[in-house]
Amino acid sequence: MGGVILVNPAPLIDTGGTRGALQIAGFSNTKGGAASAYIQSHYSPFAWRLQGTLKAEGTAQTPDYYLANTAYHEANGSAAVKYHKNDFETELYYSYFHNTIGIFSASHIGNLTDLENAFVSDTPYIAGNFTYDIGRPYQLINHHLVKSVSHYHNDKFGNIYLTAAWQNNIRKEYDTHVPLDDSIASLGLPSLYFEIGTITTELEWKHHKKNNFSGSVGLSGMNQQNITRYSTFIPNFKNYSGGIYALETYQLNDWSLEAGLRYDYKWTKAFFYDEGELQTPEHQYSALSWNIGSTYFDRNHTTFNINFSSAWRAPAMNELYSDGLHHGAAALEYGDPGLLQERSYQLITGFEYETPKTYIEIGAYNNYMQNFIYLQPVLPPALTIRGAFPVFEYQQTNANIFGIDATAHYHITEPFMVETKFSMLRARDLENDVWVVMMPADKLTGKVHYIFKSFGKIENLDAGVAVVHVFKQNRTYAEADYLPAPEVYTLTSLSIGSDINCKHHAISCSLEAENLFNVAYRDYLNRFRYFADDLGRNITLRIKIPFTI
Amino acid sequence: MNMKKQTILFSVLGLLSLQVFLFSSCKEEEIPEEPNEEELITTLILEFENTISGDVRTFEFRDTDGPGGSEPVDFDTIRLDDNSSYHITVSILNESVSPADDITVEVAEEGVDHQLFYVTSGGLNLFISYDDEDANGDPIGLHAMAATTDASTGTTTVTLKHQPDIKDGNILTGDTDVEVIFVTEVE
Repeated sequence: MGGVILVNPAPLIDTGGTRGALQIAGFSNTKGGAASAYIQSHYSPFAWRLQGTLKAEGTAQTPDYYLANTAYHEANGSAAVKYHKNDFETELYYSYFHNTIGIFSASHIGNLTDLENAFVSDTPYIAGNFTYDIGRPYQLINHHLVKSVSHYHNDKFGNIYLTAAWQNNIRKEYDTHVPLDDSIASLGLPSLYFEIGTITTELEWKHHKKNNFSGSVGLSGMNQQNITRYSTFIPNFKNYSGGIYALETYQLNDWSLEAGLRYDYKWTKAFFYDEGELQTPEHQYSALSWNIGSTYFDRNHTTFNINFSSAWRAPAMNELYSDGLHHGAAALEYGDPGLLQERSYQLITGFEYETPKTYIEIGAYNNYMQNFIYLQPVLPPALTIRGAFPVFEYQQTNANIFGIDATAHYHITEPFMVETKFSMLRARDLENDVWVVMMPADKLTGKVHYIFKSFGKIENLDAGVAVVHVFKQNRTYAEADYLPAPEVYTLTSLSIGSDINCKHHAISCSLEAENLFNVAYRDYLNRFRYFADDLGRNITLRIKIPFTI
Repeated sequence: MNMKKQTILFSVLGLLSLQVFLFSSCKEEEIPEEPNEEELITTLILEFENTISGDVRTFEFRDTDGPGGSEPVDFDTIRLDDNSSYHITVSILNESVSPADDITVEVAEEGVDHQLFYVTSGGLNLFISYDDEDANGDPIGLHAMAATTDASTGTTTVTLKHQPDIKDGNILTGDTDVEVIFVTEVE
């Protein structure tokens, strides 16, 4: 959901004294660093915590070159206070998040000619140098969140939770293109500005377990508003939505049955000018969601579960009303105000087997999507004064997605573990009889992990090596993409971590190397793959120093 | 705090959040400002003046609502006489506003940051050379000379590059402000 951050802050502890921790981290790839600190205490019936983080990273690098203008700056902070007495507690949480992100210059293209030039070149057409400075194009994000969570426990009727949250998200994008007119340029305005305000409220009642039944009922509401400036790419809009739900689980010996039902309603109104006339189209969507599932626990460490569910979502504002030029992507995107709500019917089964030495988990799913919304390339490219632009339209189809996720690990000896993981997904557009593109490629992971014995002041020393093999995504077709999918790649990572005991505290250290062998690769789902290789080796050092006052 | 008080406190909190919800719905900020007059380039005019006869022909590309939306309203074919020479004068306009904004002036003023490129397809007997320069003595391309030889057809691509502090005479450098491919006939 645009402009919304889901935050579940760590619980506030109302025992012990005043304490906190300092954390520092360094990243080799971007010559970056981060410092973070928190402090918490309590004064009954209150408990509180303060936290802050600063982070700065320079130009990122691939094995062979720098990625021009990819520096990153971030500052965030939060404060939380909790009141807890008897069966009642309420917590107020505030957080602020600010970051400035350089947008990789060579990915910012003017037209189809620039794009084609970028494709035939092995290296990006803009050479990068190392710097901590951020130039155009860049993005600036400011996010405020205020959240209140209250909980009331009653022995007779159960638990009641009330959550209310307010969020304000401002995003500004500064294009490479500075206006030619000096008087406009001197205003320093962004080329795109979004301000999204969101208010959410939720009331939930969890009843006590009775006659093997446990469950909850709840109400939720949301109000969201967007203001766009300096661009008409996405219109101003308002949303109201509300939902009511009930969820019950019946538990009997090794067996449980779960069923849930939810009704949601959504109202939206968009505001935009069409040839000087204010347009204010409204949409309403409402539907039921449901799920029914069962889990069986065998005494021989086996679990089997099956779940059948149906859910829906209303089309998003950009899917309805995108209108024209997507700055920097050199694409024209058009929404369709006539889009219908998307509905999914999903069947999931899972199997787990666990002994002290062995663990196996296999999950399989099939998801049939009715009115699946996707971005369809439309030929021919549009003719503009800035050259040819590819055209995309939001369209709907019926699609079927199925996949398998499997994990197995085995302890050769108590501290020595080997693990393997595999995931695959297939998505088919049933109406057009083609693959749904931009879906993840198959992936196979192998891992070895060893936990060392404690010696002296060193505790919890562990080391691991992981190898990830990503297959080529062959399930695509020429008209759906600018370039064929990238080739297979294999990445190796290494991690070592430990706690060092100093007086009453344990200082935690970890060292992690990603892309250890500095492999040049491109990932199918990364939009920058059209222009440059992915990141080269990155070594991260983290140190956490706890303290008490 | 006894249970009654807790219930009261809880109700107060519930009411407060309900109020926040209702209050927010009354906030009237949804009407967008009139869209900003984005700095668009809508029109490219090439004026070819025959250096002997003084005969003037203009060829235009005009898309008054900018990229996307309606199709371009004018997109001329460049038609020139064979074995002739011409003086080219370029005009770049924003005709989405009234009166039209003459962007040529800005390009000329910031000549050190801009360059027009003329690329003709193979087989087209049209040869274009620069006839102006910026403060550093490098070409801008708002004025150029054209010479034709035998009758032929092909395309002429006119590209305006914005190269702030990076002007290097390379068509691949910088941002593309204009790129129009004119069908061209020398007859």
